[in-house]
Amino acid sequence: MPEPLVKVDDLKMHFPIYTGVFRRHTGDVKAVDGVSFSILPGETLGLVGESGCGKSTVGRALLRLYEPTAGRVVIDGDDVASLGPEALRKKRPTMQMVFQDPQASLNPRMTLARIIGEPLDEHTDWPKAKKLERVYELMDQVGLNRRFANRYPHEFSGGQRQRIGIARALALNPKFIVCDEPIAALDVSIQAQVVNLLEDLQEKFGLTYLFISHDLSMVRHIADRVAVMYLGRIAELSPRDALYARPLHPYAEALLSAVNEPDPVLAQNRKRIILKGDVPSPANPPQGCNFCTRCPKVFDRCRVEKPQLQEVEPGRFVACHLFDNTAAGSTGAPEAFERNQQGVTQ
Amino acid sequence: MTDATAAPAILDREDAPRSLWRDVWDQFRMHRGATIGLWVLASLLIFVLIGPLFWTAEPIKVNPNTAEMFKSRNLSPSWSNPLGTDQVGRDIMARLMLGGKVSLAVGFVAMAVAVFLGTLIGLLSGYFRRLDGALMRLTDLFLSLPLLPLILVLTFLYGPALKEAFGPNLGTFFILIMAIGLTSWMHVARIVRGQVLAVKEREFVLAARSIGTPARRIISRHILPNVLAPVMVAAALGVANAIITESVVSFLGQGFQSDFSTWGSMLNSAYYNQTYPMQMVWPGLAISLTVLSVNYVGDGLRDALDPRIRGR
Repeated sequence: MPEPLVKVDDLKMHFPIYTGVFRRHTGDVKAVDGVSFSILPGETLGLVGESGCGKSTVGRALLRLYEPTAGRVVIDGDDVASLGPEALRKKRPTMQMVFQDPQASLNPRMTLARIIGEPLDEHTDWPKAKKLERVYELMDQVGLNRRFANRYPHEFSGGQRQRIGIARALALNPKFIVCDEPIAALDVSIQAQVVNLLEDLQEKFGLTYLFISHDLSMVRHIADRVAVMYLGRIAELSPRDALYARPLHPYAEALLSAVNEPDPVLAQNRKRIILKGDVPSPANPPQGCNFCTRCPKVFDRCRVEKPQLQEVEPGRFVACHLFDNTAAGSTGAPEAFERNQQGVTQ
Repeated sequence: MTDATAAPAILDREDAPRSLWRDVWDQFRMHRGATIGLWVLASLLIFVLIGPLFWTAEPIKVNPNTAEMFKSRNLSPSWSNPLGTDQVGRDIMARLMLGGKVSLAVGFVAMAVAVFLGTLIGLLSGYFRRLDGALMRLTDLFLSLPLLPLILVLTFLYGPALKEAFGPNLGTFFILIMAIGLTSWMHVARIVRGQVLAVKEREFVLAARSIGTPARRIISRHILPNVLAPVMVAAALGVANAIITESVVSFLGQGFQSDFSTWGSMLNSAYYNQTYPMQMVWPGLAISLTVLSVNYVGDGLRDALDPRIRGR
């Protein structure tokens, strides 16, 4: 097995809450609460979950756009979470980000050439002509006409703007790109174009992606492995095909049951698992499993003890007490339970 | 910027990167009010700078011959005195030219000092959370001071030293621009801080950080250009404010000597000579024209600097 390019170890990102006249520190919003995973070179890891579960925070903490509360983030050999400012700046070219809102992530007062050229201005001392040549090359790579170089972001459509954002991320030949919901703000027809572009670029340059999205079908299309997050923790981390065929964690199961089925005949037989209640506040998560307040298969142990992410089948990691027995090699009961599961979902 | 030879041959000349200021100027000319404002401002400058070369009447000294002086007091406009004479027989046009030079200089330089200070403090307190509390309390402190007495105290305390160092008129000029600049930056600072707080949360600032742009260049490249619009408006209003403050200080005896002319002091002396209201009209008109044209120029500049409006 090759050495992973990105290795995240127990990453925590807590945002402090200050209340009262004296702004006392009274608690933390635990946006990310102990997340571990690794990404192999050239792989795409999908990160899915509902709004507010901490997906984007993971992406941003990974690139140290937030200062992580705890944990290690090793990217290409260096622990990004503890690098000094200057070393971090030197490290930036290896890791880049494509943002969610292509309108907001481009400075409205800079021309396209300056936006794409900004990383070059910061990290190279090339002469102007060479920088411009590189900008044109990048524009070719993401499918933007070279004539657009002097235009401003507001003159472009959403898909074109996202291409600008991708070109900017590519400028310094990064190894690892965090795609923070890069398609969420785009029309469906444009989404396909942008995802295909990302795939082409991955093939061409051997890029490694962390693809954050709430669009499960799109993740199925692009990701090799998928991590399902719930309330700041990873519920399940599995290879794509295995996850979509047979989700193990009850939350993953419920989430995937929400994917629309385009075939009307199959759609009639589709059974949705409707979760009841709301997501608990990340400032005050349940004492036991974060999902215990809404889980259809909750039992006593779930309410007192947090399940840890563990490998229950080769390559499949689940954080759920239902699978503790399987891992311990106990007999009978879990298997039967498993079959029941299948009955429910089909 | 870069010349077209750097670009591949398929590009036309017009597709090579254009100069930002060229674009701004093209858009500025589209703004009718701004163009007229610029012309008015330019003609005012020509009037006060080049006018005295052609119109050589004495602006300051009073005619020592008392009988002649009394005869030439408060005259109506005529060929020898196109705008009439004041209450001690000096030609108003000559005084307007000399006074304009001083008033415009004080107005623009004091405004520049105030806008520079205000923008700097606003940027720092908006961007760096550690500095925010201290700098904003400083701003509150300055806002709570009675400004006019403060200016008077400043000119009273530091005026003599500066006058000695630079001569009476230049010394007064320096003390006035420092005093006015130091007491009128607070509103700019507050406006800029508010804008910075909004702009720094936008995703393009995060994108710049993910690229590794250091804070000073994030501020100069991404934040400052996006908070420029309200600064322009504040600057335009600041010019008027500075001209009027200068006249008040001069009137209260701590600014320029009373026989030295500025538009503000001309207004004040005309105020005590109300039988001849025309004497008040000329400096008043000059101040209004300046303020109005600066406002329009600021407006046009703000529009021209915004690429979303540019080219419409």
